[in-house]
Amino acid sequence: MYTKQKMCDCCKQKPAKYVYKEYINGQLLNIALCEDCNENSNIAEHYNVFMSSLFDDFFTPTFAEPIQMKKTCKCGCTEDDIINTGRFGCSECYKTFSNLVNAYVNKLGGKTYAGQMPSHVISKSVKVPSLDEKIKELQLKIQQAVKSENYALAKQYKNELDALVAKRG
Amino acid sequence: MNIFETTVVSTRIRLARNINGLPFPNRLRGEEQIYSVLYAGVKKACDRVFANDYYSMANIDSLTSQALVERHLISKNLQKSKYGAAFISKPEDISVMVNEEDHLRIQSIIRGFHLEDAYNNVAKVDAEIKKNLDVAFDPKLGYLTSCPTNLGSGMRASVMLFLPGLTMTNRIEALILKYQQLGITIRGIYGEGSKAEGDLYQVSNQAAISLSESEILNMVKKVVENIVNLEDVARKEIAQRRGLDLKNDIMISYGILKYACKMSSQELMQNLALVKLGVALGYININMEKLNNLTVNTQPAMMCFITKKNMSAEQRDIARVKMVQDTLRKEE
Ligand SMILES: [Zn+2]
Ligand SMILES: [Zn+2]
Ligand SMILES: [Zn+2]
Repeated sequence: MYTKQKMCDCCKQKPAKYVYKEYINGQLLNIALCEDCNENSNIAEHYNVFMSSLFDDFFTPTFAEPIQMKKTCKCGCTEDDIINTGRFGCSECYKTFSNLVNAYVNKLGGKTYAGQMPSHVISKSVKVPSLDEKIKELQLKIQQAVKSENYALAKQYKNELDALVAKRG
Repeated sequence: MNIFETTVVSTRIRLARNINGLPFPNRLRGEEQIYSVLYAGVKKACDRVFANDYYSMANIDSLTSQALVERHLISKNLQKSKYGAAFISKPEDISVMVNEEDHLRIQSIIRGFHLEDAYNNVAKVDAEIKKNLDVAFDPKLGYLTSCPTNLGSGMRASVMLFLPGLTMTNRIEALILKYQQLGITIRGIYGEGSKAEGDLYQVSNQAAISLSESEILNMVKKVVENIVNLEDVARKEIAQRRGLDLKNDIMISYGILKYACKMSSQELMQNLALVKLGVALGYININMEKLNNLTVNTQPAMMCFITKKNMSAEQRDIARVKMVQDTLRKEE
C-alpha cells in the first residue's frame, strides 16, 4: 500500500507540514496544515478545519449508496458544502440538515446544551421546572390519586417524590 | 509581587453569536443592504455599553489593521473578511468583531487574572445585542455558530501565562498533554508549535456543547491556579539548582537589553523572558506590566504605528531596542 502525501486540511491544495492535535468534546482530532496556512493565521483560527475532519469520518461515501435528492437550505447551502467546509451557512441550516447535526451531536456523546438560556428564549419556551416545583407538583398528584382511591398510582408518585426529596438532600 | 502577578499576563473571554435569517459570513454574496441592519443593531448595542472606535475592514489601512491584530483586538480572519468590521472600546478592553467567522465575536481582554470581569464585560454587550437583534439559539444546541465546534455557550475563556519555570524544567509538554485530555488547550502564543517564544502560553477551554458559562469559568480558573502553583514550584527549583548561573544568565540578558544597538523580535523575546524571570525572582526591580507591554509594542506593525513611521526590518531592529531602553530608563 502506498501512503499518499497528506494534504493541508485547510486549503486542501498544498502538502501538510504541521500536525496539531485537538480535543473537541473529549474526542481527539488531528489537523494538518501547510506552511502557508500555518503561517497565515494562528491555529485557533483554523479550528473549524477540525470540523470537516469530523464529517470525513461520518460521511465517507459508499458507492452502494442510492442517489438521493440533495437538500438545499434557503441560504443556498447544500449538504456537500457543509461537509467540505465544516461550516453551516445560516442558523436555518441547523434545521434543514438536522441529520448532520444529530450525527455530530451523537458522535460527541449526545450531550446537549446546559448553559444559560437567553431571556428572549426563556419567554418563548416552556420553562424547565425546578426541583422544588416538581416536588410540589408530585405532592398535589398524590393527594389527587388518594382522593380518587388510586393507591397504586399514589404509591408510584410517592416513590418518585422520595427520590426527588433525597436528591434535594 | 505575588506569583499570579508575575505569571498571569492577561485574561480574555469571547462569545460567538449569529443572527437568525442572515447567511453566515462565509456565505456572504454581496448582500450589503441586509448587513446594514446587522451593523446598525451592533452599533446601537455597543454605543450603549461602551464608548468605541469603529473600523471597517473595507477601508482600514493595512498598518492600523495589523497593529490591531498585534494587540489581539481583531483577528487575521477578520482582516480577510470583506464585510468585516470592529467596534473597539476606548480603553481597548472590549472589542466586537462583525462578520468574522460568525456574525459577532464579542470579546474582552483584561490585564491580569480577571475571568469574572472579562465575562461581565462580554455578557453586558451580549445582553444589549439581544435587545436589538434576533440572536440564533436552539435550546438543545445552544448558540448556533458557523462552525459546529463552537455550539453550546459559544464561549471561550483564555488566559495568557508566562511560564519560564515550566519551560526550563521541560515540564510544559507533559502538562499540555495532560490538560488536553481534561478539556483544556495550552499553546504557545508566539512562535510555532510547541516552541513558545518568550515562554508565553495561552490556556483556554476546548469547545464543548454541554458546558455552561460558569462551568467554563470555573474550569479555566482552577486549571490556571494549578498551573501557576506548578510554575511557582518550578521557579524555586531552578533558582535553587542553578543559583548563580541562572542569575548570571538573567543579568547578561538585562545587560543586552540595556546596551544593545539593534535587536530582532525573536532576540528580544528571549532576553525579555529572562529579565521578567529576574523580576519574578527579585533580582531586578522593574514593573512587570511595562515589560509585558513591550512584547506587544515591539511587534512590527505596532512599532510603525507608535512611531508613525514606515520602517525597514533593520530600522525596526534599531527602533525596537530604543523603545526597550526608554522603558527601562524610566523604570530605574
Ligand atoms: Zn494550506
Ligand atoms: Zn488556511
Ligand atoms: Zn442555511
